[in-house]
Amino acid sequence: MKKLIILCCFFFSGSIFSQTENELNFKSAVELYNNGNYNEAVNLFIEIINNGEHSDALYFNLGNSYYKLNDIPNSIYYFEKALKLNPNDKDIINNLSYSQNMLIDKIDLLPSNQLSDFLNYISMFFSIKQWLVIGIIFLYFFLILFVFYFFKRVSNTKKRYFTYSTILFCASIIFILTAVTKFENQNSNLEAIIFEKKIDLRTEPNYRSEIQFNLNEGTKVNIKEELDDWILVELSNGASGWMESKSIKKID
Amino acid sequence: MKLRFYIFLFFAVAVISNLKAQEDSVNFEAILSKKSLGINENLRVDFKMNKDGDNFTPPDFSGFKVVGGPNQSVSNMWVNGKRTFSKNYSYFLSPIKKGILSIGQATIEIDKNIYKTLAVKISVSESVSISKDPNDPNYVVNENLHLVAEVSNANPYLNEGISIVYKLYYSPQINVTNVGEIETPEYENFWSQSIKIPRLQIERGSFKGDSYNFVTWKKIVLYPQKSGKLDILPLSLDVSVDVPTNRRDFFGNRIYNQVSKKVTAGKRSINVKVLPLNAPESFSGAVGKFDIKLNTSKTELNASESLQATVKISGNGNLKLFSPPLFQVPSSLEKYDPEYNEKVLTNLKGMKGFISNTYTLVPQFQGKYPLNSVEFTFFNPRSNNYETIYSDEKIINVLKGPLSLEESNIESLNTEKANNILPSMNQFKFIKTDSNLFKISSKPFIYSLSFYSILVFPLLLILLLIVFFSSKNITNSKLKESRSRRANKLAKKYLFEARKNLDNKDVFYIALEKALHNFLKSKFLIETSDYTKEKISKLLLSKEIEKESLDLFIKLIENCEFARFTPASNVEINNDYENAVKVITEIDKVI
Repeated sequence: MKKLIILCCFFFSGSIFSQTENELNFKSAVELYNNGNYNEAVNLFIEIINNGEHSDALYFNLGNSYYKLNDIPNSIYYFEKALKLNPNDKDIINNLSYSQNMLIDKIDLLPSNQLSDFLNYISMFFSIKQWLVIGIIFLYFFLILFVFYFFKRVSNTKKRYFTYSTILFCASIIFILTAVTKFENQNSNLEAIIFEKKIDLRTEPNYRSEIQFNLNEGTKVNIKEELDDWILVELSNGASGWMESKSIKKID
Repeated sequence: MKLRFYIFLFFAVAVISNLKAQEDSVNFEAILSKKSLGINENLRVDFKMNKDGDNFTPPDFSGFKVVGGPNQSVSNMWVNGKRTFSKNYSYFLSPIKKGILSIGQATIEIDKNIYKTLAVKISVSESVSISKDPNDPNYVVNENLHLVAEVSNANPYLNEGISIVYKLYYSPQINVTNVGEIETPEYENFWSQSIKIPRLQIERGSFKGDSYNFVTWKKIVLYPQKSGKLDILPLSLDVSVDVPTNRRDFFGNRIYNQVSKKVTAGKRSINVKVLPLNAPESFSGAVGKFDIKLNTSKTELNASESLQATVKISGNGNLKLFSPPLFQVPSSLEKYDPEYNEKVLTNLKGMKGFISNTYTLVPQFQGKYPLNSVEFTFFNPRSNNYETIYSDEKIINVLKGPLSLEESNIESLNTEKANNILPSMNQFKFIKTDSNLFKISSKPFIYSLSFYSILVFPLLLILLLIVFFSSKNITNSKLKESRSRRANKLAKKYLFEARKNLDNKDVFYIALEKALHNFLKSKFLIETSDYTKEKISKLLLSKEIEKESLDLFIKLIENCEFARFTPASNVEINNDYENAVKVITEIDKVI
């Protein structure tokens, strides 16, 4: 038993130690960035990721560092990753548009209908996890109210508790469903950034087929299908084509 | 007699004036260099006129092939105030067949009159062997006059520059007095440019071991545009040569014979090699050795100002035969069509200089704009390899301006209203200093086991709660039901017993009391301890039972109590029984 406790202590202290090390790395990376040492700052940030920790701030800082190094695809990649974790951060959106100004490709957006726009807008308020947590918190409130409802004998208060708990239950279901649909959407809309200077998009997943058009580095594409080393990508303007999967990096 | 003299005078004047008129008359004739020739020899025909005319139509030289001409020459001379004019159209003809051939009439329009030459006949005989008599001027010319075409490279690559230099060699014995080009080759399938020779210069050189004078007549730079075997047509010159003879004139100087000679050179075939197949994608046909440069006029500016970016290819090679490589810029930079510039000098080594495209760029938004390095591939014939070169990358810093289209609209609106300087909200933001680090979970939280358990746990809890409490209720009610059923049974049993003992007073009333008791027990689940009249009446009142049956019920209970101690008649017993049955059925109905 004693041994177990010691072991546990070791484990926790280890994890605490590594966390503080990451924090220290983060601090020194910020300092390096501020001194214009962008390459080393990038290395330190990447090391934190390799240590198994991340955050929107970390990805944002990586995006900034790569922007300063004029590495367009990497900066866009990390800004997009940061947005995945924190979809409403003004700073991230602002700096991402700086990076996007450097892009060679200009892809127009297809007009979308207002309802789906509105739903998207709503679902953008929180990340998937945040939606889930909200839904679960509501579910637990519902549970508490239901217990009250169950044990109250006075019919009036019982009625009130019942309506409250029903509302909470519905709300929690809606929130959880929002999270689920958002997750499914993201899964079906796997996004990726092109990392090659110039890449051809073909009609079929082989080199014999015709080249439809080409894309330049840093452009965001949606992955529709995968076949061996090839992927079918779709652009935001509806155009699609096959390209090699080695020249992209998925945003996950 | 006198009259005769006048007549004579008149005629004389008339004749003289006529003679004068004869002098001004038009003369248009065909002059042949020879009347008979061998089939391997050439013939020169001059159509000569002494007044300028228009609409010269040559005869069709049937039986001949025109190997040169028409060459036109005009001479205008004033001697002692007298003008001599002559205009010449000359053709070089080579007979196709033997026999008597004729050259038809040529026509010309002079002073609105049409003049014709006479047709002339020429006899063409067997080919004559060129005589080897050293005194024959033709032989001398043949031996001492050579036209040579020097090709720099007979086996070039496609688009690799080669040069041809035509040199006319002549030995110092003879004098070249005039050179005219009869046939200028067309360089089909070549891009050609001749290099201007400002003044023919006589140089000394050696030809086949002998010392010769030579003149560089023509220099041509060629870039083959097709692979395979390409023929270059020959260049033919008509050279007038003064050949010394053995005769001497009165003063002891040699007498020269003038000979016209046609020399031909340079029928060559050039074997053009195909470029290797492994051409990179960016290869656009440039062959040579080049350098690329990307220059911008500014690197820092404000949005909606303009700058120039120049892509410049310089070096040696087929510069005029390809365009500078494409230049891609970020889409948020407005790019206008390029302005093309070239400064190419052509010499014997080929083209040298630069070509450039100058693009005007106008950034619309603030930020950094990388101008990607421009890729350019050319084939280097020296190393037999494709070489790809890249320009430097340039970065343009746009200092002031909107960040996006929407913002630019807003800004323009605001500046129109008032000259307020807005705090620029959208600078490139500094990095975040709060780390907020957390573990990277390999699996998303959604659909994970913990997610499901958290989700299902409250529902399960509710379910458990419901199940637990409802089961408790059920057992409770079951207990009650069985109790009431038993009581009911007992009530029936005692009522039956009471009826049996209608004549036995004590037994009857005990049974009746028990029956009533059990009835209440079954209906209202009251305990024996609560079996008092007050409680019963209260209970029955609360159940909204009629006063009559309530009173009757109380009365029955009282009767039962009294009967133990007082005697009672059979009638009373019967009455009480009936009342009990009535009350029980009535209360039963109500509840």
